[in-house]
Amino acid sequence: MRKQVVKRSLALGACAVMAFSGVGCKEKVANDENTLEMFICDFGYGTEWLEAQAEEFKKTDWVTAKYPELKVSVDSLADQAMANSKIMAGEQGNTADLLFTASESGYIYYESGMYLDLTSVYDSVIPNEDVKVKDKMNEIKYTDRLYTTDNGEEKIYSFPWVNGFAGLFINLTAKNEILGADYVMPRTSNELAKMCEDIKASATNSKDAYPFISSSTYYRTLFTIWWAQYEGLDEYANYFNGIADGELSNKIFEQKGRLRALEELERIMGYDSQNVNPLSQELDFMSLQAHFFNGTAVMMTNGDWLETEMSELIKGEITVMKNPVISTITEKLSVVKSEEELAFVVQCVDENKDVTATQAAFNERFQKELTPSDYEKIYNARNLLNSWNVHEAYIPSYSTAKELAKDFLLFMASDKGIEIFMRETSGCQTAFTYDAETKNPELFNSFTTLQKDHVKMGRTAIPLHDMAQTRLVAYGGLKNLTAVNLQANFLSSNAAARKSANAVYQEDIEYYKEENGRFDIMLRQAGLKG
Amino acid sequence: MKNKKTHRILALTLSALTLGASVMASACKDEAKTEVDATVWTASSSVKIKQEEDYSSMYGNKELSFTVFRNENESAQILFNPKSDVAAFDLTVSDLTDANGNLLSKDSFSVFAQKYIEVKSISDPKTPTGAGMYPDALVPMENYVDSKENACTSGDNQGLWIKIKPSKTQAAGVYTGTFQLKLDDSTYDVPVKVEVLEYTLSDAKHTKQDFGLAWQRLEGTELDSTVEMQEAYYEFMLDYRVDSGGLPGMETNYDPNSEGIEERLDNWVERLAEATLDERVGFTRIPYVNSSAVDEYGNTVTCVNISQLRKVLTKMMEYSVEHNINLFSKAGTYFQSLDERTLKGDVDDCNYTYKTTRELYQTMAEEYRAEWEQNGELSEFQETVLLSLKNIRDLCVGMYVDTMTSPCTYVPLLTYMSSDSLIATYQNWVDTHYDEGYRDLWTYTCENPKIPYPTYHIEDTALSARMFSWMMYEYNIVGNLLWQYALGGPRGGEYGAVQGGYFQDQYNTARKFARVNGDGFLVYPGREYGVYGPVASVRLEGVLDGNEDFEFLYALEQNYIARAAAKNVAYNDEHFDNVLAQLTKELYTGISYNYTEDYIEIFENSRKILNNLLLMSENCGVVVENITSEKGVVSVTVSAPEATKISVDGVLKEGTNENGIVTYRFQIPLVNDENALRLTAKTEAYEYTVALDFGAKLQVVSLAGEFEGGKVAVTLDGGEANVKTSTQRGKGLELLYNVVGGEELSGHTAVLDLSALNIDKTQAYITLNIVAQEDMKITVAGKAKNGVYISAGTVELKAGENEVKIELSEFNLTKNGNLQLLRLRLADDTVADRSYTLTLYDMLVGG
Repeated sequence: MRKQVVKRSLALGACAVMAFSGVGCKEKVANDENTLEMFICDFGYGTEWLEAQAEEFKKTDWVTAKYPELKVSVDSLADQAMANSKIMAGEQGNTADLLFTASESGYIYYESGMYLDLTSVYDSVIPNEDVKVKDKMNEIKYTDRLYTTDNGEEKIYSFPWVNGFAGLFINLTAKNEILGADYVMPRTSNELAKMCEDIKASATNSKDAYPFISSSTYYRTLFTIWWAQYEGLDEYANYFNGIADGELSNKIFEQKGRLRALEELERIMGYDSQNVNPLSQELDFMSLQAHFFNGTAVMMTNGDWLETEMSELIKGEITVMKNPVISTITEKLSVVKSEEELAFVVQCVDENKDVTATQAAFNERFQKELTPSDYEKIYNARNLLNSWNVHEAYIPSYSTAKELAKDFLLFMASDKGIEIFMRETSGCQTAFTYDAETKNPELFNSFTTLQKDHVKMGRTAIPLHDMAQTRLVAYGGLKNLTAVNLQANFLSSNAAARKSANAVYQEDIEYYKEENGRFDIMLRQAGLKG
Repeated sequence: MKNKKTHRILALTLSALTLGASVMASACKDEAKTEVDATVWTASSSVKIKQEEDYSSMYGNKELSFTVFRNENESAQILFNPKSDVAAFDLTVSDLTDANGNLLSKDSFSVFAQKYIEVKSISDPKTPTGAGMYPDALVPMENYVDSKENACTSGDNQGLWIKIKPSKTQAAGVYTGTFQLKLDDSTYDVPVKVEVLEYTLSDAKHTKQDFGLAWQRLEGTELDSTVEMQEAYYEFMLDYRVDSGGLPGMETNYDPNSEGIEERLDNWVERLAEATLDERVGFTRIPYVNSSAVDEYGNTVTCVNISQLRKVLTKMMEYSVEHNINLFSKAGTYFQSLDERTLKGDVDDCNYTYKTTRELYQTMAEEYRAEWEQNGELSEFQETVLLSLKNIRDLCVGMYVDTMTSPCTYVPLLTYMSSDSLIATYQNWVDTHYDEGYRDLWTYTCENPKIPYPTYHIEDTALSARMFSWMMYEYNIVGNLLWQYALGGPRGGEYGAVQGGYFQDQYNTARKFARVNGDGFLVYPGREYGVYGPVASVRLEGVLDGNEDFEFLYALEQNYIARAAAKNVAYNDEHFDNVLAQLTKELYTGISYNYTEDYIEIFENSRKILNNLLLMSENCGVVVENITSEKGVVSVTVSAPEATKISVDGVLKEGTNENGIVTYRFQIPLVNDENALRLTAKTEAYEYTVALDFGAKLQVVSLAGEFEGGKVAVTLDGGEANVKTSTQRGKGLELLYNVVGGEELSGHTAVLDLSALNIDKTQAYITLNIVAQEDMKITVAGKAKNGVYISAGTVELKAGENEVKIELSEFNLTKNGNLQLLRLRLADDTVADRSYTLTLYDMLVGG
């Protein structure tokens, strides 16, 4: 962390000089078709990976053959707001051919023509690999990025430069000390609740560790996961497109999964549970993470970049858990109705048993027929991963090296490019399929436990739709929850300031009821109606 | 603008000296002339000509033309694009004359240089005009010349903005002449034509504004926040028919302990009296002191100091009574600490504050009444003053929320007034809480809404600001609030260099409010160009044009009200709305502009129709009373004095004469590809023609016939569809909803498959003729080829015949393809055990 902070300060300082004195801090490069200028928001993952990729790109045979006079430069800003300002300034603010952003707001430029349509990149075969770019990524990751213009054309403007995700992280060292190494990781939300009780009651909880510590930003991570588990991916996606029962309707706010997810959050991470360290409401994010790393909290919802950011502070072994399946999912299943049955099927999924094997085992145990649809729903729920589509690369329309920029994106999607990324980020993953354990065992073995487990999870992971680019979100202003600070709603020590899960659920229904026209306004602003 | 003139004289003297110097200088060297080859063309004020784009398609426009009423401001542009750099450009205006020898003095014209500002990156994703160099500041030409900025780079477009305001006594007619555009040593003659119309715009204003300016901020922009400079800004904005928030010389939110406050308050009351008597002023803000309190629920709330407010109101009352001027008539409050609270669902402070202020108004009114009644019956003036006091408008910027319990005048974003039902919410609110005559509807803009809703953003069209007033009139909104119009320092962003809290470059900083280009400022500090007071912008000119258009609409409607009175019938404002809809139907849908390729042409045609309707009503006594459309036939009702001759397409018409007023009724079946009514009114002195366009042929579809023929299919859950024949109506498609006991009504749905009828984005409406068995509600939804069902709302059917008009734009056919399915669902939630019948007759498609 200290090294990173120092680097960042230098970066900020240097760029401040640039901003106010007009004096350049780096070698001026030509703005032509043989020079690839790249600009990156240095936020979380560092920039070393891009610099390393650039170096390798310059040496790659098919690249040097095509661009004998190739030059590549990488520029960055650590301050996200300043970086985004530079990007938003457009042609007047930079001459970059590739912009690596850390912002959800890229969509606002799609209609204006600021960014290049990258359909041709996704349809291209990666040099020396027998696969198209779009076929080397999870289909949801690809389709989530598709954008339908006002004229009904389908385009794709963004290119993911990392497959970041948020989830439930666990300090294994603390957990083993408190609960024992053999303690079964929770498969369901009921088991998660029980695990919290066990942590609190444990005689070997020498640090009086809380089950959780949490920041307000990541507090709602489990909300979206449990909601999507309950409703299923299609219905979850329908919410962000404003569709309920096949119609654009404010009934989207009535999705039961939202209530059930809020109820679990309140039950397991609410004030009355006593499961969340009260310091969660007081400390800054880095300090909260420090508690987690020190083992004074066993679990924390966070993002996979925490190792890259905080590697020097991590004392124990941390990893990420598969998301526990919300126990009330049994309301949506036809055969699996009890907690025991649910946990059993989840266990089978974890053991990579397919539907046939799971049916056989289930039928034997419970003397009833497990349906394929129940299996599929539980399988999808267990493998759901909360990935974030904010780390996107764009080629601006004013780029003077468009073909070169496209080729760099191809390189990024290649195995070589992926390996470099993983190495430089201590195992963070890209959006493109690459199993390091099988393809590069040496590289895989250099990863931390967390990243190894991420690779393993990635084999069956189903990314939760990131819906920032749906029109209703991008232009209409729809949020997954209107409540501004869910953590405060559930965790506040002031009882008068707390709200029940049902109250939070009803707030959105009330806010968007037909009479006040807000949903209609949202639809019109999104261009979905009128 | 007395102060402005003084400084202009100084500037002119300087420029005379400079001119003299340059003459001398040129006499001292060889007389080398700099000829400039340039393309010169003209444009209306409806379009923004950017500096760097290609407008060669407009190069054929050579005449500078205006159509204008007396005392109205209208503008047009002269533009040039030189093939070589221009060191100095200027324009010489001259008198114009008409065929009768009447003179239109050059003093009627004002000339401005368009100064360009860079929109580096767009803030409105749906801007039709994108990023680039926009004309915005309009610097008086003579000041621009003095500053020596009147140069132009080869290949750039440079515009001059010419504004005319014919005097109230100018004779109507068509005036022509020539202006001379000078580009270095080259002179280009620009032909000019001005049509002055036979009507005088009144100075009176029927709109209200609260455009904010914190007077203290002038210290940073003009380096002068004296009362004189404040007055310059205040008067300047009145010329644009805009009320600045707060009167010069007094801060809105004051410190009761500040030095000289008593004197300032007393001066403010005097100034308030002037403003109250000034017919150009629509709204005046009452100053207040912030405070805090604990409400009945134990919450600490922000509020206003009631005792200070009482003090101010007492001063107002004393002055009113002493001078017989009702200082409350235009007065209202805007407590800025409560700004946009309801957007966040935060109403505790609002509820407390507005409750206490309303109680104060009521209490003071009762106190004065009791006091005055001791001297006998109250006079009419006293009653009026008390009524005004009780009804002081407390402006609450934000949208309606259920949890607001205290009276206030909501000022929502226009997007919260996007339908009849939403507007009705606000209308019902003011009707409930205010007496008649005080039930104002207000709205506001800022960084939101965004294009294609009305904005004052730089990357919006020139017409956005103007058409906003048309929308306001149509939706009965009289109040317009803008949080700041002369922002000089950054709010929330880092754009531009800042010193001492103010932008160093006021003229080249488009994002003074960080997120949006143009938000927070409509004027520029005049100091930099030797102007005392502000410099206007293209956007502010649009505001002025819109405010004047509002007055024309108002004047037109007054004539319609007068005609109803003359005919001794109750005035029905829906009829005027129908006529107004004729002018606006293509300009916008709801509150969203229709930025089609020809939208400028459409606006200019609408304005022409408005002109002629007003002239007809003023000078010929002709009123187009109503326009309705039923079953594919448009009916137009016109009335006129018997001395006025009415003809349609050149054919003289006869009507029904009652007490000297003749009423005409015209029917226009929508059977041709183009359908219109060309109406001419003629008297001895005047003749006017107005062309009302009713669109293309309507397709009349017999749903029963198409059902029988297999072109329309119907799916009805728990019911059936059959063709039934009635003696009066012929064949109808009967939908029988069978609701079995215990079932909810609302589950019953009939879906009509209309895919074979090719209903596409080129058509505006479908109109269903429905006979309902009884009063009932249905919801209507449509599904296009590539979409999902989209609701078009709930319809209340009356027993018997109903005409249900559905706007096809609701279904987004442009994006989603042709209309496929139309769903009619019973809307009531009552449980029943019986059948419900709807019979569909002709469906009209088109418009």
